[in-house]
Amino acid sequence: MDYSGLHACRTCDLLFELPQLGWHEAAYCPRCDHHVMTERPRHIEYALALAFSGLLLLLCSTAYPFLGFATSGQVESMTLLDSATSLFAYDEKLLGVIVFGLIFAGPVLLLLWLIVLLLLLHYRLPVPGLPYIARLVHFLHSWNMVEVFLIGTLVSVVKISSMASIQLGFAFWAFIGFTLCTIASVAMVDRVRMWKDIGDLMGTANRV
Amino acid sequence: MFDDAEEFFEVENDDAQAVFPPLSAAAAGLQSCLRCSTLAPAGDTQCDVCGRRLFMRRPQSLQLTLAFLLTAVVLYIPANLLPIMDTVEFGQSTSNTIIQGVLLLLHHGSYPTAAIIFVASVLVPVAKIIALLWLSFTVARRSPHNPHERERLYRIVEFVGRWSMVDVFVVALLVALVQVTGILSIAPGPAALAFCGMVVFTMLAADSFDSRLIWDHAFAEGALSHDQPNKPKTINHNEVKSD
Repeated sequence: MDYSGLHACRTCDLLFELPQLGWHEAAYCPRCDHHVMTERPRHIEYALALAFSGLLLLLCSTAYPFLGFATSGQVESMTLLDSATSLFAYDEKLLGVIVFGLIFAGPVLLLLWLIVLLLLLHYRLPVPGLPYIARLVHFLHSWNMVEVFLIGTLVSVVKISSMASIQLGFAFWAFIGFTLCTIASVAMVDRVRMWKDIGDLMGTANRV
Repeated sequence: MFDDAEEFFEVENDDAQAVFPPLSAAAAGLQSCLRCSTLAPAGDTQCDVCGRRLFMRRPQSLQLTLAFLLTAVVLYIPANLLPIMDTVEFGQSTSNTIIQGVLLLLHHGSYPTAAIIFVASVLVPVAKIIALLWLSFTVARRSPHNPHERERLYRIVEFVGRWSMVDVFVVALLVALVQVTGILSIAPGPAALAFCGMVVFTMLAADSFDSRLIWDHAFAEGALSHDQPNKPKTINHNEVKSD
């Protein structure tokens, strides 16, 4: 049976007809006001461009000093990955792995798989693994915390600015750019739109 | 890939005994996939489009939520009583708990930072745990009242979840940055991991709670009418901007 015109609200399970939306038009649940979907023109291309920039900026921000700390004539600088690896030096291995996953491995994988997914959608290639890639992107997105880490950096800078002078490295600015690109890129891809596209591309009869 | 708790714990589906309210997809015999929102007839076990396990309502939603909340409450105790970082200055070590850190920031006059840390690390976790407990309690009691308000509360809890991680990141950054050998260094304290675990478990608890349960009981006692509009509201963001 075909239910393509119908939609059930994710948060209140109200069943309603989803109309054809125009560009920049967003639909909200009539009962609980939850956002259903938004149609954006050329969203795949915009998201792709932003994801590429984000990935490049993240790679830049691992290669250069992130923050510098100058006190009593000594200057110490750290890279982005030091914030995870220095936890290992204090034997906080589990915490180190979690921080590494949240600030580097997670975002890199998210952007890489997002780029693969968007390229496949852009060129309309129904490769068998497409739903799995989309599931992976969905999972990595739900645990993505790059903006939280950015606020964490700002808090740290304020916290120790009374002890010593803080130098903001090139990587710091690159990381801000990376955060903005990543947030904009994933916000551009509408969840419902993406899965509708995948369903159309794969043919819904295909069991995953 | 286990990206949802009920898949991980292989809990039993208990849809069979449930009675669903009018106008819901469940009452029409349709289950909507939580990952891709595709509709499937009742009885299907796996989504055709994305492969996620299907159900009318998350199986054992309240039990999973309460189990994760209990874990978070247990972790909240060491997270606040043990030191989150140790500052070693000229060989002298001082341990600070989260609250002591906030007081120190207030003492230095950095009020905005103190406020961010206090709200994100102390207030939000407690508020989140209380909110989810209350939501679970009202659902267990089959309360028909204030579904809109409870829905909004749940969405806030879901949204703020990640922001409590700020403190963990601050510890990680300070440990990496402040390492002036022999003069000043910062070491992570045992509370950091406990705090990180607490944040993760409250996020899992919020994720396990099925907000559709709030609405299932809202039709009783006239809290919701049966003549809901079935056309979604649409907003054109281009028109809004050009105003």
